[in-house]
Amino acid sequence: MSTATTTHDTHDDHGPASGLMRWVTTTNHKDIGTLYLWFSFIMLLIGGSFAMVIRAELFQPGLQLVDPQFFNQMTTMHGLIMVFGAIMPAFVGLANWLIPMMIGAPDMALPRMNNWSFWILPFAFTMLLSSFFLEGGAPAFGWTFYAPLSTTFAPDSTDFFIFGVHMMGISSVMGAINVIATIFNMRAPGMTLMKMPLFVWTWLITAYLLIAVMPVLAGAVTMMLTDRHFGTSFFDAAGGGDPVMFQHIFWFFGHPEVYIMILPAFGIISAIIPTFARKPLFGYSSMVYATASIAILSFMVWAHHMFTTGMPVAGELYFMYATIMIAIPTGVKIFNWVSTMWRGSMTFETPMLWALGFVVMFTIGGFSGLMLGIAPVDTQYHDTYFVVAHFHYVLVTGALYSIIAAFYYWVPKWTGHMYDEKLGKIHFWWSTIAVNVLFFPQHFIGLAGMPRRIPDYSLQFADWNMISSIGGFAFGLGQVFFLYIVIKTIKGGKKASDQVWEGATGLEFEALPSPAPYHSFNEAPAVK
Amino acid sequence: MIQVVTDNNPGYIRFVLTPNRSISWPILLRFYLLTCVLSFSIAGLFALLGYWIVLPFSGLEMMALGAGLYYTSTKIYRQEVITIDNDHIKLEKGFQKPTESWEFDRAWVQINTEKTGSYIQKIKINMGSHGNYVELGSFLTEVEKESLVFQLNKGIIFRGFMGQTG
Repeated sequence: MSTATTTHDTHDDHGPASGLMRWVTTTNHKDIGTLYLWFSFIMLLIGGSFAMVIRAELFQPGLQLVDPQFFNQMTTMHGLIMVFGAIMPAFVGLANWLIPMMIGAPDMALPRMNNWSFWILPFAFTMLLSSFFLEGGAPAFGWTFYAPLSTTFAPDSTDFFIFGVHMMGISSVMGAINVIATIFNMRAPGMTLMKMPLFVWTWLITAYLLIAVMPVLAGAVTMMLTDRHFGTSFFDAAGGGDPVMFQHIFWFFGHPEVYIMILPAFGIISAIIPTFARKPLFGYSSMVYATASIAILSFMVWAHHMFTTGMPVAGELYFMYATIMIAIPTGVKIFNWVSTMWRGSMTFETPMLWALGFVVMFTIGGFSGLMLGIAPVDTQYHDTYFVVAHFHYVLVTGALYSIIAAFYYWVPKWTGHMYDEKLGKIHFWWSTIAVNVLFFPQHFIGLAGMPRRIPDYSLQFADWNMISSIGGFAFGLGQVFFLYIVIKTIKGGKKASDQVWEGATGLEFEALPSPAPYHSFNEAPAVK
Repeated sequence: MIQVVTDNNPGYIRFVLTPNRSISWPILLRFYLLTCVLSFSIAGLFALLGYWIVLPFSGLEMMALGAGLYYTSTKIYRQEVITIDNDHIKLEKGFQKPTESWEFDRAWVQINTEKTGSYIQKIKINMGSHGNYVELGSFLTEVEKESLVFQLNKGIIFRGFMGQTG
């Protein structure tokens, strides 16, 4: 009998590769998360610059800076870039960084696919943005690309848009598959579904929504393509098709898409508020069920975007009540956040300020959404600036605020450096004042009847438009300041402790050092 | 995860090594089928209205989802089974069924541990004899690997001793 245990030392990889190829070939979830976040920031600045053109043109009545066709290109590309290029990739970036660390997994389940799903995006958006330089200019039919504007009357560059949307869709689907496979298969022992942080839960549900609706988007743009070039008449009434059906198809995708852009935000806020209230989240289970309810309801309300296209009263009533019903699970969330703060030992560091800004202003966006959901009055509000104010309160002070809050909350864990608290607070107060100066007056001009997507307007709307534009420029400036804070934090700063925040809980804070190592959780962590 | 199986034969011991898995295959399959039902219902509804182009995209997407889930399952449902009897040690590796197997003479077998210096896998365990070594439990955590080495040594030496004397 001769058994022996001998030990040899060899050396393989120690960390990330060096040079540019690290970023091209990386399969590390943290690297890919970083790539997504930088990409979304660049898109935020590009989409934001289009918004500046829009607000500059609307600063005064009359046509000042750009012609109406280019103005429409700006509104279209602003919407597309912000929705598909800024908000969605930012949440995917956060998912990449955080989900493996939160569930105790060493990486995402399908790391090579993760790399592809990111690297498709720069090509998709380069293709989309290149349409500015093509004959006929960029798409000018709004981010909703309603037929026949996007079919019969669209420029040739629309084919680039269609191909770009397909590529973004493929990227989103691959990202969603990865999130589902990771959360289901790679949780650490003891990390049951009902022990998962809410950010992970909200992302699991978001991924499911993405899987459910992306084929509808792909089908819609493909039918646009065949209508344009292959003689079909899906959306052409002259050939027996139905242009209104395009709107049904688009919003069947588009309404869940709205929740795709907000559910992860709920997860972020549910992580931040308990930390700075120093209390566990109130009603964890109800938060999970509320998120699932919102996701289910999101499939049943699409036609509230289409009340003015004409539909039977029974249809209007159904979609109205179904829409208003979403207020119940959303209200559960708001009340749970408020209850978490109730009698908590609250402190107001920068992430908490952004989270509180989210709770207050997202609620404003929610309430204006309820107003829009009431079919009889929606006839008045439809396609006015009231709608613009509503969805910007949801997407800017909702989704974007949560992303910024997430940055301030987790960046010490990512970089090992604390951000500059004073600069973070200046960033918050500057942005919050500016964003309300920008969007709140749009409620007034919308209720007074100013239509959206117009480069010129009646004199009666002049004052509020000027104020709104000033708010817009200030908000834009605030985000350039944010870029400075981001770079400053990455380059250095006070060293962050491992727990980072006194009240922080979760594996990323309790089981990993700051900065988190390149490869985390070689050991499955103990989950209590 | 390491599962140890013994029976009345004191010279016999079996180690079943599996990676950490947080979901069972039947539940994953149910989730996948539910997703297929939802996706094809939506696409089918549009197809009935004449907008059939959604359907192939649903099909492609469900294929991709299925492939992703199946691929990850093949990784987490891998098994390595080490069976030690009175004279031999048999190692089998595979997914659902053994696809590779090795047999060693128990008297000559060696267990080597190797510090790799890698952040991903700090320790490698090799088993074999006469220059023919096979890696064991690459998916185990470092703590599990240390435990495996201890248990294997114990299993080979101690149970062997028990087998000879019992």
